[in-house]
Amino acid sequence: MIIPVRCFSCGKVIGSVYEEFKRRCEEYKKAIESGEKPKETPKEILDDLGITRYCCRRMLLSHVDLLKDAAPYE
Amino acid sequence: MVNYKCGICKKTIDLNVESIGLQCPYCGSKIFYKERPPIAKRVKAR
Amino acid sequence: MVKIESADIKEREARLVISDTSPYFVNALRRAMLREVPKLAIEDVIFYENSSPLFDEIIAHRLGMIPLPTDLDVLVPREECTCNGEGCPNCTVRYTLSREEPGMVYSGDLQPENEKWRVIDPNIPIVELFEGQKLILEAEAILGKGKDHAKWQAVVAPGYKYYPIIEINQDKLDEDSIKKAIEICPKKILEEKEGKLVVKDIEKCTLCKSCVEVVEEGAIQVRGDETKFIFTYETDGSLDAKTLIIKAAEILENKFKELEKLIG
Repeated sequence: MIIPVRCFSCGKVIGSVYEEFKRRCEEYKKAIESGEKPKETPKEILDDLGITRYCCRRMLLSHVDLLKDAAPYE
Repeated sequence: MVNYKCGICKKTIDLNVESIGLQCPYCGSKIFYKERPPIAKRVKAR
Repeated sequence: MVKIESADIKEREARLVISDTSPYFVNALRRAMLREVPKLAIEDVIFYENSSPLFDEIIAHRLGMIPLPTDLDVLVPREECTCNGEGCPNCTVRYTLSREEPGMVYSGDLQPENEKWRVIDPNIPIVELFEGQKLILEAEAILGKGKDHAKWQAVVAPGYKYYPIIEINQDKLDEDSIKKAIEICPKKILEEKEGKLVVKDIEKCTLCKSCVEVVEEGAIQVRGDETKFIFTYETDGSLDAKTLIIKAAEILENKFKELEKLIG
């Protein structure tokens, strides 16, 4: 649905970094597709954002945004 | 009186007993949503 | 007597080396931080209008998880307040939120009564509104404890480990086994210096004993010091790391004093 506010396992706030993470991952994908060397990998993005534990990392990595699909039903 | 909203054209419809079946008079849809009553709702954040 | 050998306390995270103690003491401190330290969090949400894709309850839950700045000198828990649980400015902090235009609603859109209580992290998404959708609500935040609900838990991932002791018998090591030990260490804390195996950063050792297994028996010994601990924790930002641990220690102290009084 929408990114959870906190990590399920440890309780660290991860919602606040999700949009930046997504934006920077998009840049990474674009660089890969055009055959350039990406500025940073998703691993480096997560480290830079201070998401160090694997419980918090999976929250961001495995999240699927589905809120738009639910939007017509209020 | 609770109002209902048509699922397709989103218009508020007065459903009364005389109306034959449940059908939207504007578009013929048979899907309705119950409208949210205009009172404040208190929810525990748990 | 308990000693703090080194303390690296930042605003949101801390790492302490505590020596001359036992696991029981450190665990008591950890549990006091988890369960007993009070913190401000949204408890009641009054919805006036919500036509967003999420249910009222989901939005209320998300609001509850947002860390709010906590000033323990100003606020009192609602049960102990003079207002008898009605909710006065001494025990309750009120927020309002109203959005009608499409777009993401962030935690920063919560308007506090007083700027002092503005949400610390303004970038947490709450819900996305689409064309024609509305969200109008009021929220009341009160002090609570971690034992009642995780939203009142100020500490994140508190933990401790034994201080590592690595004993290396250089006579039993040759060039090949030194290389092997350096190679297998998952934290890369071993290195070679003048033909000898030395430990670079002992605090990073996880006591995994991988290096013990690849060399001759007795060449390397890895064990934990049962009287010395590395204690790490983070906070969600509502309290800073220093006040959090001091508060936890105070609560423990009061609990023991109470016990003393009861026994007489």
